[in-house]
Amino acid sequence: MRAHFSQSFGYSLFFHILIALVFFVSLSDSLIIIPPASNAEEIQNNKEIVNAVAISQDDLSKEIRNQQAAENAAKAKVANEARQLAAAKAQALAQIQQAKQEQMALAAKQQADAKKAADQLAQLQAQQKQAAEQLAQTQAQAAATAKKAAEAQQQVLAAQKAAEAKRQAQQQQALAAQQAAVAAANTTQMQNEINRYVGLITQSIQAQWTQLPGAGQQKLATTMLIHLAADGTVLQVQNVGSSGNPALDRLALTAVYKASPLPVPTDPTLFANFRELKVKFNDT
Amino acid sequence: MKKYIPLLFGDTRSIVGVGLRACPKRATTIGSCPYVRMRSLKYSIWVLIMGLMTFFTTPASAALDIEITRGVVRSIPIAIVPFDVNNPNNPNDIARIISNDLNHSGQFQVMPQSRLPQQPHDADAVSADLWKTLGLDDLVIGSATLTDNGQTKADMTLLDLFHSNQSTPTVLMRQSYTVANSQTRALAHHISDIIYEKLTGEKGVFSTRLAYVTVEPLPNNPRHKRYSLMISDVDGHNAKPLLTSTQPIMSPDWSPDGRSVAYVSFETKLPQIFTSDVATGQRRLISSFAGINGAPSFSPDSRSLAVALSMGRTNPNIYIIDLGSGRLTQLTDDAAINTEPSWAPDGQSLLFTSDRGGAPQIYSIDLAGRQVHRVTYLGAYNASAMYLPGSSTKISLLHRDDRGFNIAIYDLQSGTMQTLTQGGYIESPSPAPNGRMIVYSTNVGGRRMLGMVSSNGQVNIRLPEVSGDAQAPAWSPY
Repeated sequence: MRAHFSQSFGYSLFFHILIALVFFVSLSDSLIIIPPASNAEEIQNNKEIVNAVAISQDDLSKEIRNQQAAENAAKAKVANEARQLAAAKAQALAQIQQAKQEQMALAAKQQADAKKAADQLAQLQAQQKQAAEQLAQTQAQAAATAKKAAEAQQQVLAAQKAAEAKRQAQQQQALAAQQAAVAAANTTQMQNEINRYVGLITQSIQAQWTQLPGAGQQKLATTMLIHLAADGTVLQVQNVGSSGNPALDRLALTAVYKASPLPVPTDPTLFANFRELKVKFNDT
Repeated sequence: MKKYIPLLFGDTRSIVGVGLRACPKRATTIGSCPYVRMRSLKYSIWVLIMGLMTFFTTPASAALDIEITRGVVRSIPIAIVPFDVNNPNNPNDIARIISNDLNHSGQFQVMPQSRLPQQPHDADAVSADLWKTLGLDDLVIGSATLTDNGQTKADMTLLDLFHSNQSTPTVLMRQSYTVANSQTRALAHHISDIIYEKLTGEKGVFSTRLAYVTVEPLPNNPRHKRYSLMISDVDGHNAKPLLTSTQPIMSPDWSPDGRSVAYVSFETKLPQIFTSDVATGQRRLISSFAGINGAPSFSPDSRSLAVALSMGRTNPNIYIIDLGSGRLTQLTDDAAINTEPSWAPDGQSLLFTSDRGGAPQIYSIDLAGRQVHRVTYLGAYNASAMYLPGSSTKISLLHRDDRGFNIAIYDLQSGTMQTLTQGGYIESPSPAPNGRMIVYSTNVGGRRMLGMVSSNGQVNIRLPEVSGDAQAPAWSPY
């Protein structure tokens, strides 16, 4: 039993020494991570200690006791801090471990997602390819169909054409006669309309033409080429056959401009005949 | 080149019966015209240029032919804008004188100054559209300013409002003159002349003169009269006596060269025929035979006078006096009254008045064969015949019908008589050298005055400037 106890005591001592070693290591670690500010503070404390030493020799023993007590307290404090640090370190290690695990899980997840997206893209491309192939196929089919239809239509047209030609050949004489009759009627009607407007224009210009004082004595004549706008406005007048008497020419020119706008047909086909008028003024 | 015309003017199909000429069938419409389907831009531009050249240089073959056979007898509407006057020494209103001249000519209708919408003095300031809407054809603007050496500088511009369809007028004539202040009236008449000639194609008569006889009571002896042979401007202004007498003066007639006037003077109580030089007043006695010496008429060559002489008998006959040699040639020899001889323009025959048919009528005699034929049959009285200058077929005469004595134009070819006046009481018609006006004397309220009527009958005016009784007017040559 006593042996067992001593053995236990030995273990205990061993472990305490071990713990103390750990403490020193941890303390040195702590000293390393102490920020420079704390370090400066400690230096200042050391200065106070030095000052205290310089102030009094009498209280030395008391101070030594106090210092020992303080050292003990500091040791205890250091030990406490070491414990806390160990605990914090363990906690930090655990956190890091956890973060690493989380990161690995995330990476795995991203990888899985990317793979999934790639798979989808591939699937989509495959679908598109398939659709394109289908479209090409459809188009080819449509072209073929159209070609067949065109061929059929051509055949029909050819048949119709042949029939039309035959019919035209049969009705040619009758049609020609009919067209001639219509044309003659149109021409007559057109002529009548044109003659009517020629009469109106003649009146309009004549009413503005002031005779020369010696009108009719020399049988003079002057010819004006008149260019008309669609509303009958006189655009330009050229004397294309002078009478030799400038005053007569001028009075004719004045008459044309004074008569503007001239009465002209509104129908464009009829008016086409009135774009240019060649008016001869006879001074009779 | 003409084949391109349809490109510019479209459908130009041939229409039979109204004179439209055919165009190439292949180019009848723009759509079917082969010249529209061009192979290159270069070619198209070339065709366009050729087409435009044709448009502006040659008559197109496709124009519709229209013929107008007669214009309207109408006065040309014109406005004479008062001149921009900067001459306090010049009392003559040039624009007003021109206005009167043109108005009295019968060929113009001058817008009254009160109706002028504007009074521009610069051609650039004239809006043709404004004046066109007032119905005017032409516009005269100008200025009259005093020069440094005391003369009058006049500028005149004649504007044609209808020379184009543009709103800017066309300058037909632009003249500038510098004259003595005393000549501004003559200058105004000259401007009237050139305007008239520019617009009517014949010479104006506004610088010609009149000879006529005035009769006034003598101031100190009202029972006696003073007769004056007067020479004046054609508007009656500027009248000066060539001869004054207490005895009647009758029948003045101008020599064709305008230098002298022949007339009958009773200054010796008996009728004698004289000529007077208009410039110098120098007189020459031509005829002083027994009895009647009357109705002198210068031949077209100014070398002889046709006269009516009674040679001691009761009735006058027609003679010709050679002014160079004094040789006398008798043309008629009968017992009727033969008087008022007047030469044909060619100098080969004479018109005269004779009552050989019972009443005064116009007869003609040719100098070579002495053949006489009666000219007028219409009416019971025709006298004082003269050929209208510029015409060999129309004569002016004094014609009596139920409205009294009036001036008429008788057409030798058609035999028609056109009466120009209606008032009656007219004497002594004498046509202007361009034949467009006839001056006469007429009775207005018991006083004889001069008047003028246009030979188209459109204008009939009085000459109020003449004082006293005025009679026997004769219009000078140019």
